[in-house]
Amino acid sequence: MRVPMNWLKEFVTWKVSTPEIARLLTLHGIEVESVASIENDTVWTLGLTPNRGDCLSIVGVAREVGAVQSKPAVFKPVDPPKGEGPIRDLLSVMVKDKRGYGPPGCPRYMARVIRGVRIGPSPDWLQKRLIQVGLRPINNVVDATNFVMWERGQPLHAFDARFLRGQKIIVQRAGEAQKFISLDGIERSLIPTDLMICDGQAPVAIAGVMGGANSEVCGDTRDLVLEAACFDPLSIRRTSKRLGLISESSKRFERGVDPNGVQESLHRLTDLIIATAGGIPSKDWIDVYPRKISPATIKLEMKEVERILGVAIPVRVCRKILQSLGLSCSKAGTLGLKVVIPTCRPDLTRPIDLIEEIARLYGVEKLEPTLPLIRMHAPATPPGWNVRQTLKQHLSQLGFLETLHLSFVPEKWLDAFQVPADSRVRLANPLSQEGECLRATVLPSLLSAVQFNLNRQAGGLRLYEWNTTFTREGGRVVEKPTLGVVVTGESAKHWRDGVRKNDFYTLKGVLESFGISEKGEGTLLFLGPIPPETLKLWDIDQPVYAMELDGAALVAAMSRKKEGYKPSLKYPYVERDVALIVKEDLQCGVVEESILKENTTLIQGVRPFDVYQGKGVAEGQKSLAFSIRYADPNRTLTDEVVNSLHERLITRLCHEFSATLRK
Amino acid sequence: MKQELIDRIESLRQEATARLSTFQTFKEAFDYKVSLLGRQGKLTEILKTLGNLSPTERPEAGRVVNQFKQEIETSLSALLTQLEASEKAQKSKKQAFDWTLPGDPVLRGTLHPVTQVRNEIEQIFLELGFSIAEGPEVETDYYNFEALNVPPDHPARDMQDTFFVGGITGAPLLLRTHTSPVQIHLMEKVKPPVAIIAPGAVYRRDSDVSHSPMFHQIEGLMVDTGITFRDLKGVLTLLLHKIFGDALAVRFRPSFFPFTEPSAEVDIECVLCHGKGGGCGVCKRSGFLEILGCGMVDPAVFKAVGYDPKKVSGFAFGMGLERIAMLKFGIDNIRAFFESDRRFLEQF
Repeated sequence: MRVPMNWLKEFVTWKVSTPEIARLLTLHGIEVESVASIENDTVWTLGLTPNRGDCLSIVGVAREVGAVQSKPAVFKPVDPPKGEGPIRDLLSVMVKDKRGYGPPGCPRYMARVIRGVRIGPSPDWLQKRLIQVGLRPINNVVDATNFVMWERGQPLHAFDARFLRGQKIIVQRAGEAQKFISLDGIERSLIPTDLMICDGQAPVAIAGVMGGANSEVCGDTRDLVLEAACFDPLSIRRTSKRLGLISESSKRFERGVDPNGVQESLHRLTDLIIATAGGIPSKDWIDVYPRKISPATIKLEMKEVERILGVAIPVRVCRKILQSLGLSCSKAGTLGLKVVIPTCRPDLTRPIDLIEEIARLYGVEKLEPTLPLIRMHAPATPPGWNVRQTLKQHLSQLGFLETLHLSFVPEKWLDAFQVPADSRVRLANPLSQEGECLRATVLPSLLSAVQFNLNRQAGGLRLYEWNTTFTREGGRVVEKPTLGVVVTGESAKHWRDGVRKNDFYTLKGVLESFGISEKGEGTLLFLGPIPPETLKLWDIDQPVYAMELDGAALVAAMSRKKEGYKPSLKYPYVERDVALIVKEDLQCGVVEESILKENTTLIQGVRPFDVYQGKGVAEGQKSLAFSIRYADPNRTLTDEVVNSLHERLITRLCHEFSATLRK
Repeated sequence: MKQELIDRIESLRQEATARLSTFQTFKEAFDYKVSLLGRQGKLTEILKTLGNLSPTERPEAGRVVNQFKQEIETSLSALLTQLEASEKAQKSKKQAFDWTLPGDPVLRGTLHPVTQVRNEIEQIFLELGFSIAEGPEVETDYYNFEALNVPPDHPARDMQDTFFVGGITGAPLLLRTHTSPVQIHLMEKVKPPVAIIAPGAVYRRDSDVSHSPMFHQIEGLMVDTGITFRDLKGVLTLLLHKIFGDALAVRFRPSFFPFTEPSAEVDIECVLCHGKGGGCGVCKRSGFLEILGCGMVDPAVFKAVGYDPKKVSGFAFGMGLERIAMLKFGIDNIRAFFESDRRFLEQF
């Protein structure tokens, strides 16, 4: 909402400087977002909150300027301009209930006729005002409706009287789906509940949203029908939203205009048109206002003010604040106020609304901060919160970068990871095709991150993301915490260690550091290389290894209680190595298990330390070398015992796996 | 006889005084020690001849010899220690490490800046006695809007343009536009007193340099008897001072949110120009930056969850984590958080 200072000064004065008044307004809830100089005047742009439709007018802002100076702004009443000829000879207005589509949603409709106007450009001063507030001057009649709307917050419309068939205006719901061409020349599709202004035959305007092309004021218009009305905010909003047509008019109606301000606005408009376009108004006017809306009264208890704000503001101070806004107050008991709310403030309906007005004008700055008292208790955290915190720290200490990605993914990513079509969560109104679904796995986004970094000369990458994945189960969307880890490439060269590869075993190591074996214990959703054909989708041509884990299962596995304490062995251990030549497809873990079975008391551990294929080992075979640790919990083991144990083990292993000893 | 012996000692003393300062190595000094005090050493020889003296001459000669022996032993032992130490030092210097070579690689990853800010804020609130709650990201209209006093067709809905889930029959599902629905879920389950924060991802159909269609918020809620707007100011001022430093100016400005009344927006002094405004681009010359929205819980919200608004009162607030991270670290594009540029992430 733009406010030129010279316009504002016609309604209120201020003693302090203009920047100071702007600062005061901002501190008291009407934010002056920016200040500009347009057409030789200072123009504010206000950032208004949706509850303050009343400030979409110069008069409304003037009221606030008065309030921040503790001096209510007083406005001169507008006298009705004189005219000729009774209006009943020229026009009839009906507000009609279209059966089946609810009440008409028009509490008040006023109209007046002006005959013999001359359409032409508006005077310079008026055009300048419109330009200052960001409106395009069109002609003296249309400009006058816009000018008065801006000044008083009352949207207005002027019809060319020639085009109102039957000299009739009927306010009613559309009643049936139909097409209608609005002023801007666009054909609009109406639905039965849209509120329309009709003439004797058909719609001539979308009520409160935009006039129709069929009744538009144009160069040769001579006679006007002026409309000043009050429409139901909900109805206007629904229509404007559905049509995607947000006009200055609909903006004001959906926030609520003052039903008791309609009359003055109509008079002001009539005056202005006579002054700028000539013509003679009808002697009287039509006012369909079947149920007068009277100001409401709210009772405010001072102890409520104190209970919410934490400070006892004297009743006379509260009273002065409310009066500065144009609210009239009277005493109610010793510690209460009866407050009459003018109909221009439809946002004030409850005591709490008045407390807010008191708080903002008293000054929230003046309320001294305090800290609440609370009873001692143990703050709770969500299930798994602790484990997740530890896990992220742990991964970062292992050299992984935490990433976060948008939840939106293109459908082709879900295709690439074979997410079943019926479990995908699609958006009804995505911003673009790139974000039409919600992620069902965190891996595709991580691959994007890999691609992004490889394109920027990253060598090795170790990335992870802990985030929510979304899948559909029937009509429900199931959200699961998920951990994804990807690695690729290798570390930079080091003078002592050379390079360190980021590959499958990197991920295996991470998994083991969680205390989880390759069996996964119900946590593993994926572990291994991403297939090259999948990588192609991301233009990646180097191996990428990934791991995806079910977050909830991981939390459960990691929260399992430790199984008590095992005392350290008191006696020294003996380590013996063995290298076996076996078939190349024999898994290390199978041999390991077999070794452990040999003697569960004396074999304390086994560790593979070399896997070799090549020179000295026949084709199709490999050498597996293990360090085996022997120890007796009750005595020092002698060489003889160890030797005979080890011999027996080797013999059995050779037999079991058709292995030979590597010399 | 006696005089001759004393003279020999004297000449040994002179020789020793001259030579002791000339030794460069431990070996030279040690060899000299042996030549004096060894089994066949010169002083040892002299000691052996003491027995040949007459009983009257012996005491004096013995005193002179032993005194010299003590002297020479003391100075030699000091010299040897010193030479040995300096030789050791020299030797170890030769084998020393190159302090300028990089050490063994120790991997260091980082937590995402949004996680870091989230952790910091969570920690502050845990210490103040707030619990942490989480809720679903896919919500119903009721929890995201209606229960929060945003009825259907209310202009306040325009403040948060919403993503809807497609293909759902029955009650429409949407992506929560704020973390406030967690308040409702929680208050439906527990009776006051309540003190929680709810961090998480939220979604709005909006995308430019300062808006991401997905971002993160932390919601806070405290409800009890006797909670006031002043308490709200106290808790939030404390929070902002903990995050940005105690000297930071904090400003509360009246505003509007459907679910709180009275409502306020909180500004902090501009982190770049420190409140001076002037030609500052970060705060658009205002000297202040909007950092969070807050207010006293609207009675309509209490009614929706079955709390008695006449008995309890409370405050709620919400802040964007990316916004705080941007101000804290001087990041000027919100997209940087979700691009996963290694060079960006590694800096935190």
